[in-house]
Amino acid sequence: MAKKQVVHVKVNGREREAEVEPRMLLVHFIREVLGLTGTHVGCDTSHCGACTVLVDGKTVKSCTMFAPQADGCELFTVEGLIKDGQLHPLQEGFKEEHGLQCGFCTPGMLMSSYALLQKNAKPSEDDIRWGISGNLCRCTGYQNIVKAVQYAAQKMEQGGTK
Amino acid sequence: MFKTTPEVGGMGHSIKRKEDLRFVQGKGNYVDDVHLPDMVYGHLVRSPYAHARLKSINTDKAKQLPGVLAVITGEDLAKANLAWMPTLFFDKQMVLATGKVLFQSQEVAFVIAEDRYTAADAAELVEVEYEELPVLVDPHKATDPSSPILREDREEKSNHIFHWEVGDRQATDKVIQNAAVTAKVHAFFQRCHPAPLETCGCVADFNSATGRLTVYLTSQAPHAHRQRHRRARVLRRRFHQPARARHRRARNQVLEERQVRADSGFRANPWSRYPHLGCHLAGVPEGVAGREDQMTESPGPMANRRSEQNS
Amino acid sequence: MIPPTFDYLQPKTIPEAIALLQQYGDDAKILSGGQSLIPMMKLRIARPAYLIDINRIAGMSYVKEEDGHLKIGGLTREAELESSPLVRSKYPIILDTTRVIADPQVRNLATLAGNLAHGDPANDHPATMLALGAKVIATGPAGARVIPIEDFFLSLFTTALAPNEIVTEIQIPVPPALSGGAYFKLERKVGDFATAAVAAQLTLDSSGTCQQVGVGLTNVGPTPVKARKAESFLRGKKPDEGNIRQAAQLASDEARPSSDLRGPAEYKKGLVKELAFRALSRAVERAGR
Repeated sequence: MAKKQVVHVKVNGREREAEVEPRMLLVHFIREVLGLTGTHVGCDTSHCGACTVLVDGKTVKSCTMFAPQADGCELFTVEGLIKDGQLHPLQEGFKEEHGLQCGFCTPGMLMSSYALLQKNAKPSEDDIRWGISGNLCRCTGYQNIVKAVQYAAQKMEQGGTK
Repeated sequence: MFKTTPEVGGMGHSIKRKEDLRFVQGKGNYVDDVHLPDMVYGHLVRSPYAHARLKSINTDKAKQLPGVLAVITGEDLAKANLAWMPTLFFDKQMVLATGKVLFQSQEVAFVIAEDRYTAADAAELVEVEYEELPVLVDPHKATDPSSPILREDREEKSNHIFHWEVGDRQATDKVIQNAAVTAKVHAFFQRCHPAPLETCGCVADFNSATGRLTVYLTSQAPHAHRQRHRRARVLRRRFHQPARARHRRARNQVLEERQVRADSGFRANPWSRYPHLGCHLAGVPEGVAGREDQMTESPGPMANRRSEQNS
Repeated sequence: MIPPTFDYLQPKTIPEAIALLQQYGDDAKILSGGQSLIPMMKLRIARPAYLIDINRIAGMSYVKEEDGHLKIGGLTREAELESSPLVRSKYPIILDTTRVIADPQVRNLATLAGNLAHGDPANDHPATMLALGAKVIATGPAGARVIPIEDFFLSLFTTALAPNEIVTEIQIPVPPALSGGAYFKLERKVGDFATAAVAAQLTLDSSGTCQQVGVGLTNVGPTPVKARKAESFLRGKKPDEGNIRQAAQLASDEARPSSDLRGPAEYKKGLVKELAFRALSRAVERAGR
């Protein structure tokens, strides 16, 4: 049995720590050790992006990272979007624009869109499609997801939110 | 048309979905999100061969791995008369392979362990000896005398398993004979996999004190699953029908409020048999899900369907 | 989905990492981006007993011009290449390449060095580095050595890197004036490996004749292919349409693709011809600017 590793993270602003096998995938660490099941596992091959989270501000596929790699890092998951009971404009956008059906890809889409809007507050449709190109959706056909992100971009610009 | 005022809403108005509020917060409560106390995890060992005799299965090494609770094979199930289960079409199928495997990825053994990582490790340690047999992959060749017989368990040694006919054959033949024009179409339907993003999964929770089994399942057909179990008399128990279970025809099927994705009949397959058996034998809740399992379990095609059309 | 067990090591310096490689030999693997290695481990195809995570080693991530070379550090991420003002302004062929690798999430972790060191002919940077005449700086117990890119790829998943060496830098000679390059890739869907791809880099002289030509091919052989016949044909000639088309045909002849789910071999060869034409044409266009 391999020597366990201590993984200390700040997830959605909260300090958490656990000792795990080094091979534990970050997605399992988030879902099972941290108990945050909003991040999903959708495939075996690092394609679908349902596991997307932010590590130190950058989107990663948490199924393609070992938990110890995130030691000392700041994690941001879908559960961190809501603030004081208020939906983030992206969450509102997905709701308003029917940007989801089964909802399984949605957390990953939200994380990728969040990262996109941080870098580019006024994305074109092409920018949005490029920004979510690492996330697969089997339900919507993507056009309403694009609309959801456009809704959020507009709302964020008006409201001065980040 | 009757339409209420915008303030009242409802009839005549577009309404937003109710479930999105929790989905966008990551509170979807999918089957893999179900974590019950003392829950154990299952992992299937699958055959790499499409047609092979099972010469031996050695589960010793797998069983010795710390954290492994059980490694079940068809032989174990046979002792409890659970190795075969009825199908919806009046036939029976193997739950875990006994004697031989009939399709690539057929389930050969089921590992139950304390966590999914241990279960995956143990699955690798199951040693299976296969004797490869000739394969049959073209349904049109199924009744050729040179084709291998797959179902040796049946009395009649034939690959023709059942015949299903509906309607009035004589009347149909007459219409075709008397038609001005008849046309034949040879249509090829390739194997199709809906590949929903949420993989199939099942958590089975058997309470031996009350005799109730609660199943959390990604399924469009919860009643079909219950029917199957009833007919199989798997556990001779009453199945707990949760008071709030609802069956909706449209996209989102609900059993115990588990959000699932409905996908063109894909989720009507009998996935749940493994966790049920597992939890019955191990006495604790049992979960299993996975993309690789799902891809290999997808139903076969209605391949090479010929149809005769007339006008 | 579940990788096999391994011991995890986190060296703080390159010498420490190399010492660990020495110690554990064949049982160890370097973890940098991990975007190729980790999926292989999840499928249990790769099973290193020791994983040497070099991501915490400082000073390995840079994009700079120095001593007549563009120098890219061993831990520079694809995303950094994509957003680098230097790459965007002076090395559009590298921008063309990096942006079609996988997807935004993968690019945040994947490294140029890893893309080369993995030895996969389906990876995109090898063809571009072949076209640019790059050099791989490999650091081992005896120090750093230079491996010219055309000597780097030996066979499928095998490079000239010794088991105890790490790629610490990639150097690209700064192209002279009147140089241009481009990378054209066809993929079935975004994020896929190339059905085929072509990198072309050339330098013109003041009369508009090709002086230097580099052409690299992706995923059409057991290693990335340097289309030498296409290169030598075009050298000393004017890159007019006729010559470019001939060079493209020669590049296609040098491709040795396999038939697979991405298409039959003949189709891929045809694809190389068309992509080579487009890449060379774009390179000429960019050289003229």
